[in-house]
This record gives sequence, C-alpha cells and structure tokens, in this order.
Amino acid sequence: MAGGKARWIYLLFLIGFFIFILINPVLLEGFLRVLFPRETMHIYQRIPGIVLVRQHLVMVSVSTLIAFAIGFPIGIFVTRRSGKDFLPAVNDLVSLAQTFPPIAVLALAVPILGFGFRPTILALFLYSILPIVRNTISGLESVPEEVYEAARGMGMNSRQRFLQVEFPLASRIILAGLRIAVIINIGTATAGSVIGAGGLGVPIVSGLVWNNPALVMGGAIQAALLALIFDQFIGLIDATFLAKFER
Amino acid sequence: MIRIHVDRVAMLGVIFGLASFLLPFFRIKPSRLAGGSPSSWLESLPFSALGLLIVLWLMIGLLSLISKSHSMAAFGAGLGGNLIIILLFFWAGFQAQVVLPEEYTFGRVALGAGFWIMILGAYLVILSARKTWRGNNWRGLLLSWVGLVGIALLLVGGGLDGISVMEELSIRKNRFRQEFFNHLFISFSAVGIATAVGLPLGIFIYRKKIWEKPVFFLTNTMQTVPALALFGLLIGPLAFLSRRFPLLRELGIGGIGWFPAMLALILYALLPIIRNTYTSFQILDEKIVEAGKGMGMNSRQLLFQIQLPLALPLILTGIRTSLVQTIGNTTLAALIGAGGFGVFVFQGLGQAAHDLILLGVFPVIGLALIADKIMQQLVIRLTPKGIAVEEGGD
Repeated sequence: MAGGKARWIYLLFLIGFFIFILINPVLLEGFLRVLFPRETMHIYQRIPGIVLVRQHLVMVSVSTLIAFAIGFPIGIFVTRRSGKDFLPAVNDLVSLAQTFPPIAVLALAVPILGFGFRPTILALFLYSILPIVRNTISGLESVPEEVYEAARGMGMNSRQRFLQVEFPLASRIILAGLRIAVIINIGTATAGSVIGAGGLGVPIVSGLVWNNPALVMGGAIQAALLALIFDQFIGLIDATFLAKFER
Repeated sequence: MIRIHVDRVAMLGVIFGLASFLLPFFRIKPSRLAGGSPSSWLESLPFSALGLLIVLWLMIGLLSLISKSHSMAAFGAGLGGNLIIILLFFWAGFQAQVVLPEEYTFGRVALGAGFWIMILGAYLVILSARKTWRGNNWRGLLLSWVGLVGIALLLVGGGLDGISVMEELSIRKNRFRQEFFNHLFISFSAVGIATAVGLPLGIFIYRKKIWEKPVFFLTNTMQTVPALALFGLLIGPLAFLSRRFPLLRELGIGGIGWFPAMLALILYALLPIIRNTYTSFQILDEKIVEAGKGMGMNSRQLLFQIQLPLALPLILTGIRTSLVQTIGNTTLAALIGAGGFGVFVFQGLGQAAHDLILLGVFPVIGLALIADKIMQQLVIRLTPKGIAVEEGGD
C-alpha cells in the first residue's frame, strides 16, 4: 500500500518517543520547566509512569476484550435467520445508547459498583460494546447478496459461508468498530482516574486539583501519545492485512 | 385459524418485566451519603399497584403471542408498555414519601435496580410495537410519545419530588439553572463555531485536493487524543500566552476556564463536520454539476443552488454527530473550571454523593437525546425531495 512505509516509521517514532519520555523524563521535565517556570514540581512522582501506563493498558484491554467477546457474537446472532427478529431492537438500543456520553456511563457506574478499578472496567465495557455490535452488524449486512448466493451455489454450508466469505468481507468494518472502541476506551479510562481507577489520567487530575498545569500537561502528552499509537497500530493492521478485502 | 408466531423481542421485554420483581424497587437511605438498604416491590408498593402491574405484564405477554400477525395486538402491547412506564414513575414519586421511616429525618429514597429493569422491559415492548406501527401515523406517534409526555408532566407537576435526585435538585435550583445555561452555551457555541470553520474548510479541501491529507491528518489526530488530555494540552500554551499578554488575561482567556474548554471542544467537533462536508461534495453526481454548468451557472451559483442544497443532509448529519459528542464532552469541561452539568458530576464524585452525580448525568443524557432527535428531524425535513429516501422508525 502506498505510504505504508511512512506510516510504519510514524508508528515506530511514536512508540520510541513514548518509551523515551516514560523511562527518561528529563526531556519532558525540561520542556515543562520552560513552559511553567514557576511550578516547583513538573513530573508526577508519587506513582512511577510505567505503573500508570500498565494500569491504563489493563483497563483498556480487559474491557475491550470482554466487549468484543460479547458484542461480536451478538452482532452475528442478529444477522442470522434465527436472530433476525432482534435486529431492529438491537439497532435501536445501540443507537440510543450511543448518545449517552462515555463520562456519563462512567459516573453512572459509581452508584452501582463504587469507586476504583472495577466500575471503570464495567463502564468501559458497556460503552465499547456499542461500536463493536454496530460495526459487526453493518459489516455483515454490507456483504452483497450476489456474493452470498454465489457461495451458496458453490455448495458451501452456512459455516463455510460465514468463515470464508462473510467474515473476511466484513472484517474491515468490524476492525473499524474495534478501533473506535479502543480509542474511546483510552480516552474514558483517562477520565477514570476521577473515580480512583489509576491510569494516565492520575497526573492530569492531580494537576487540575493542585492547580499545577505542568503535571496536567505531562500526563496529557502521555495519554495523547498512547491513543495515537493504538490508532496508528490498528490502522496499519487494517492496511497491511485487510486492505485486500477492499470492495 | 390464528397462526402463532411469537414476537420474541416483546417476549424478552416481558421476561425483563417479570424478572424485575425479584430486584429491589427502592433503596432507602438514612442520609444523603449513606449506602441504604433495598426495599422490595412488596414493601414499596400497595397491593393494588402490584396487582395492576402483574395483570398488565400478563396481558402484554398474551398480546405478544399474536402481535406478529395482528397489528392491533402489537398496538395494545405497546400502549401497555407506555402505561407501565407512567405508572412506575407515578407510584415511585407517590410512595417515596410513604415508605420513608419516621426516624429518618434526613432520609432519602432512591430508585432501585428493579425499577430500571422494568422500564427497560417496557421499552423493549414499545420498540417492538413501533416496528409494526412505524412512521408518522397517529398510533405510531402515540406509542412513541405517551410515556415521555407522562414522565414530563409528572416532573413538571412535582409528582417526582420525593425521589432523592429531585431532592438534590431542590436544594440547588439556581445553580442548576445556571449550569444548564452554561452547558448549553458552551456546547452550542463550540458546535456553531466548528460549523462556521469546518463547512468552508470541507469545501476548500474538496476543491484544493493537496490540502485533503494534512487537514484530515490533523483533525483525525485531534479526535484520537482523549478529551481530558486535549484540555490538558491547551492549558500549557494558553497559560503561557495569558502570562505574556495581559490583554488576553483581562478577556478571560487563560489556561483555566471557559476559553480552553471551548477551544478543545471546537477542535474535537471539527472532524465529523469537515469529513461529511467533504464526502457530500465528493459523492455528488458529476452530471448534476455539469448540467448546472451547461445552464450557464457560475461557480458561486453552482455552490449555492446545486451543491450545497444537495449536500445539506449529509452535512447536517455531521453536525448532529458533533453536537451529540460535544454535549457529552462538555461534562468534562467542569474539570477545568468551565462549568456545565459536569460541576454536579464531579462534586458528586468528590463527595461520594450518588444523587448529586445523577443530577449531573441525567440532564446531560436528556440533552444529548433531545439534540439527537431534533437534528434527525431537521435532516429529514431539509432533504430535497428529489434525493429523499424513505426513512422508517422514529
């Protein structure tokens, strides 16, 4: 694919830069010192950056995996003959729930599960299941009727039709749904630090509370980099492995 | 012979409805911050109310057995669902004062899981009935609106005042009104400015293709960056600028407050608007534009008389996406001191006061839903007749 190499270099640059400022905060600290000469603390020191990144990644990956494990089969079920009755209702529910702001879902989880790690994962899961279900449905529905009929005509059974025809043709749209889920989760997990979930939002929120813009900015740079890395990474998986299913 | 073809969606709703009786209807809390204890349906509601609810659910269940082949049965089931929603809210408001024990002077009554699950069940029944009665016939509209109007009337008439969220509201009515206008002001001006910038920019990159890639790269990057991080990233440069230029500081432009919030929200709202404007011009049929040229239109006439009217529905859809997203993100703006409903959410999180969190969250969801519906109607109304596609549902 054209521009593929440039995108790999961009991704490697992002990852390299991210790791560099993570294990060696001197550069970031110097930069923040120029911007905010009056602050006494420029880098969040209570919890090491690597721990915050790990917390963030655990929250995002656990919630996205559960959402995919549940949302993907739901999307398949409602596009089969046996589940067709549920398709309009699922579509309506998903588009209704999509208007809920992610931060609202996060805040709603607190009265149910309290503060901390688990309610954040629940909220991330609940929200990220929406784009996964929606894109699984629209991906599978976008497979042209003729292609489907041709596969039938070749004598494929429904399992073969799904695995060899429908799923590959739908895979790009499904991956796009997964990408939206991951990006929203990284963003919402940042806000998760407000309810005590840890992660890269911790320096941002602490900085806001202590009125220290240097901390806010440092945390924001890391959170933004993490989101950009995942966005590029999924985009590259799509371009490298799935672009051949372009229709 | 009646062919039995069960309406499985409505049946799922009935299962939810009946299962919800096993979960608590209320949570009764000795104080505003205390956890509270569950109160079952039997303890919370009078027998007559319980009996009526059970009868209604059984009737909906029976109607759902035949509603696939008899549209009036679907209508009846949908009306039943609406009735259940209204009754639930009515009794919740009415019983809230009754069930509170005398010794709990500062006690609160909150809605329990059972209440919400039953609402969900009734909603599924209505959704299914709406599939039979789609479109704008009076029965369909009745199914969509009776429940909502009922809740709105109860809300306005004070019928829900006994419920804990409303008590939270009653002690900060003025603040609520103020943050309501703050929220609206921030969201709508951000989307307004984003439209004023994004629409011309979308047309510009359609005409000057070399700018397409850099513009989309930048706006895509903006969307990828977490909202909270974007607020944070703006604090630095803006604080720096306002230190350097006192005039800016006097205008209220600094690292904290409404300005960085608005700026971040604008940057966030740009992508859907630019993308949809660009796409709508891109997919416009070449022949129509050529026909316009053939009629002797200049590029200005082409733009205003042909391209823009035909592109309008898709552009409005982009604005709709931006608006819903911005209303949600404005909640976060409270963290950098910009106000809005987020104030209640984060105060509530800080005090572990659940009712206060809900007081911030419910209006945000409500605003997003209303804005979504209005924009949807606008898209349908403003679609030129020639390219209109029949759209079902609500």
